[in-house]
Formats: sequence, structure tokens, C-alpha cells
Amino acid sequence: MSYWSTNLGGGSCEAGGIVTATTDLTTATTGGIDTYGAWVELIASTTRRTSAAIVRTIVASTGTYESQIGIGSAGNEVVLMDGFIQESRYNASNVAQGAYYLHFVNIPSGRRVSFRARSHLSTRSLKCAIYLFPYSFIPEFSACRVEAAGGIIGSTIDPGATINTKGAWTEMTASTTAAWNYVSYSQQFEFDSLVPDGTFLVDVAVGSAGNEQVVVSNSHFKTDSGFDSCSPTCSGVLFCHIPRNSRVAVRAQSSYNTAGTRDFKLKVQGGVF
Amino acid sequence: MGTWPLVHRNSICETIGALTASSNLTNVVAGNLVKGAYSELIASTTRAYNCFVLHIADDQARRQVGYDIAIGGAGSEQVLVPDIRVRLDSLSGSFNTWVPIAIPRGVRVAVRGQGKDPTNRNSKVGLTCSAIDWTSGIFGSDAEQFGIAYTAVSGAAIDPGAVANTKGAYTQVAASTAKHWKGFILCVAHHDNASIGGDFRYLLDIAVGAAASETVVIPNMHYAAGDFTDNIMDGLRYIPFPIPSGSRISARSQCNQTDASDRVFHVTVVGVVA
Repeated sequence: MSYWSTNLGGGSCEAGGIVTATTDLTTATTGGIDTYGAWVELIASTTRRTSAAIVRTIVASTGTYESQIGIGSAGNEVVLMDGFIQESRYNASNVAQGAYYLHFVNIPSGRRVSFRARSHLSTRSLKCAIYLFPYSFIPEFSACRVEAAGGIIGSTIDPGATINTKGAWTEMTASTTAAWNYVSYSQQFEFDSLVPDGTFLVDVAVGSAGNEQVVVSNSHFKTDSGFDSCSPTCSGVLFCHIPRNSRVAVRAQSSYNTAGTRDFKLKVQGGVF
Repeated sequence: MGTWPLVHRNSICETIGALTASSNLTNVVAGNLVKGAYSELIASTTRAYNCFVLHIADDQARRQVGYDIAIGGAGSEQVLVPDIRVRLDSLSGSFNTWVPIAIPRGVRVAVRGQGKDPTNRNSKVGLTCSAIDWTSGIFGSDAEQFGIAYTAVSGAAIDPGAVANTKGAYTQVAASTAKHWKGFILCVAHHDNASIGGDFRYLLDIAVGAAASETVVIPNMHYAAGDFTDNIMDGLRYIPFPIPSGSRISARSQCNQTDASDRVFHVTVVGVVA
């Protein structure tokens, strides 16, 4: 239990990207359609080694978003955490449309941490903060990076025409490049104005087409017609081992079957160790 | 402690309380200012779980609810995780949080709630549980809560004060933690307030230490509430930061707006015991 003495001797959470003057977060502007904009700095130099992170994002203009966390000096950023997706409600951005992602990932001390985003629309804005937690607490537990599986701003998951019945599998990646010690997924409804009230259960599986083995079953989220979106955005940390070179697929069922609104975009993140 | 076998066989996540016939979770009817009856999520767990993601989804509830997660036979439930407090509203949908507390194999798991509304107290609850064949010092076996007041299912009221974008005064959340914590679930929600008049942003500090000698350990945790959700979204967060026993925990916040009702929110904490 060495984490007690070490951590409590001088640790605290390190926050980056906070704009206290306006109680706000740091803004990144996307590039052209589906193109990442420039990296924006969240932390100039991490003060200590950390092993867990909370990434907090808020939409600043309407649209769908995918974002990344990088480390490295300006112009030399390397993606550390990939595949955060979210959306705004239809035709209205609002500060309440945030997302919260917990990851167990190691970040050395002395590193610059930055953030960038892309959208299906051009020149959108997404805000971000990051909270880093001391390494001494959970070093053996954390990933070296977070990799993503799925298409740009998510792959389409269709629950199908039969309500409350799992739809077909959608391949998120043909082969993982490394072993994962946990998965997390986030989803968005493509900025759809017609999302009805509904509930969804999501399965994640590994294995070849036709031989999928479920590793995450019936993870829940819901949609709301007043909200024009879904919540929560992120599944949370789902610990299950996925070996290197695994095919990863996702399917879902829904309480409604309206074509055009039942399908959604989903992206899987995997903690690489 | 063998933490990293090359291949983790038999690792799986499965949701207890999921109802595939309706694509939903198990209904929990909270009591009105009293603990409601337990709703069973599973009669007997089929394997041991190391941790889980708690899902709480609005179905009808319109105000704050505190949830107990328990194990044990009907009438003999033992609370495993006490008083996870959220404020439910249909537009803000659902919440989740990672909970690193183990659930044994072969036990009944049930949930109950205490709400504050004479008629609307239904919600949906499920646990996506991870069964993995390795162990870590991060997982706990017990939890303790601080901050909740059962008389109104309220928490410690955090008032950012009348000056925008400036930290308000500290409010005590826990006088003294009873045990060492591996981390804690930070529960942030409004109280009663049925509507939010605009876009509100908050930066919350969590501190330890005696009154007037507080040391911030979690700085500027960002939350937001909007006039269309009438609620703080993502109000449940697991904070992977240890707190020693005997700690006084307090909180303060700043807000971008100053409306006397909408700027105030409530905080409770549920510590994962080491």
C-alpha cells in the first residue's frame, strides 16, 4: 500500500485548460470538414508523473465532434488519448452539453499536454480541460496510451427494425494494434433534430465476423426528445481484456425503431498496456 | 500481487439489472423522504466482480434521489454503496460513474432510493460489472458517505457567492472521514430548484484540512447546467484520489452567473474504503 505515503506526501490533482477569469475551459477550433484543427495547449509542463486522467469537454458551437489529447512540444505532438466523440443538440449549442471521460493512463512529468478537435461541419469550437491524478496511486493499473476504434466521429450502429432486439454487428476495427486492459465507448446521434425518447443496450465483442464473443453486454444509455441527444455520452471504464490483433465489433438494441433516428455513431476507446 | 498476466482469460463486463425485453434497466421506486423498498437487480451473481459502472436513468423522478446499492437476501440486505445522490430530470437523462468496489459471486444485488417528491419517484438502475482475473490496490470492498441530509435528501450547499467568476466560501462536506479512501464518488447536483435560467458554469474545488487551513486537492472541477436541461449534467464522477482517515473535506466554487438560486448546488461524497 505504498500509494498512501507517497501520494499523500505531496500529491494533488493537476488541472489544465481552466479559464478561471470566465469560469470556462480552453477552446479548440476544428479545421475543415472531418479535419483536425490546431493543437491547443492545456498544460505547459506537467509537474509530476500521473496515472489517471479526467477529460472534460463542452460544445461551444453546434455540430458533432471528435477530439484527441496529445503530449509533446508545439509542432511535435503525439496522440496520447484518441477517439473522444460527442455532439451538440440540434441547432443549439449550450454549455450543459458536456462530456466526462475517465481514463487510466500514465503521463510522465515535464510533458506538455494539448488538445485538438474535428467535426463533420467546418470550423466548429469545442472546449476542454484535463485533470491528472498522481502516479503513486495506481501505477500498475494504467495504460500507456488510449487508442480508438471506429470511423471518423464514430461508426454507424443500427439497432435494426425490430425493437428490443439486438441489431447486426458493426466492425469497429479489424485488428487492434495492441492489447487493451479496458474499453470505454462514447456515442452521438449525428446532430439529429428528431431523436425520440428511447433507451439503448450496447454489446461490445471480439472475434471474427459470425463468431463474435461478447465482452461487454447491455451497457445502457438513453435519448430524450427534448434534449435532442443522448446521455450519458460516455460508457465509463469497462474493464475486460482484449488481446492484440483482435477484431472488435459493436451491436445495440433500442426501445424504438424509427428509421433515420434509431441509428447512431459510436467510437470505442481501449486502454493500451 | 500478480497484476498483469499476459492474457486475462475470463474477463468480461455484464450488466445486472438490464431488461432486454424493454432495452432498459430495472425500475426503482424511491420513497418520499424515506428509504423505498429494494428492487432486485439479480437474484444471485454468477461470478465475482472487481468493479462496476453504475447507471442511473430518469424515468419519472423530478427531484433529488439518494440510492443505496446492497447485497444480501430479501429483508437482509447489507448496503455496499450508500447514498449516491443525483437530481433526476427527464431532459438530463441519465448518469453513470465507475465504482471500484467488489461484488462477490453468488449474492443477490438490490437497489433502493430515497427521493423528495410526493408522486414522481421512478427511475431505472443497473450495474455493468467487470469480472477480471487480476487484482489491483485500486479496488475497494466498502464505502462511506458524507454530506447527505435525509430530511430533504440534500447535500452540502455550495454557494459561489454574489461575485461572478470568483471563488465563494468553503462549506464543510465531511467533518472527519472514518476510514482511508482509495478514491471517492463526487456527487454534484442542484437541490429542488426546478429550472435554471440560462447557461451556468461552475469550477469546484475540493479541499482537505481544518477550517481556514484548507488545502485544495482537486482544483477547478468543471460542471455546467443549462436552461434546457435544468440540471447539472455529468454530476457523478469517480475521483481517483486517496483521502486518509480523519480528514475534514470541504468544497467551494465559482460560477459565471450570480442568480441567487441557480448558482447554488449541493455536494456529497462517497468514499471507496481502502
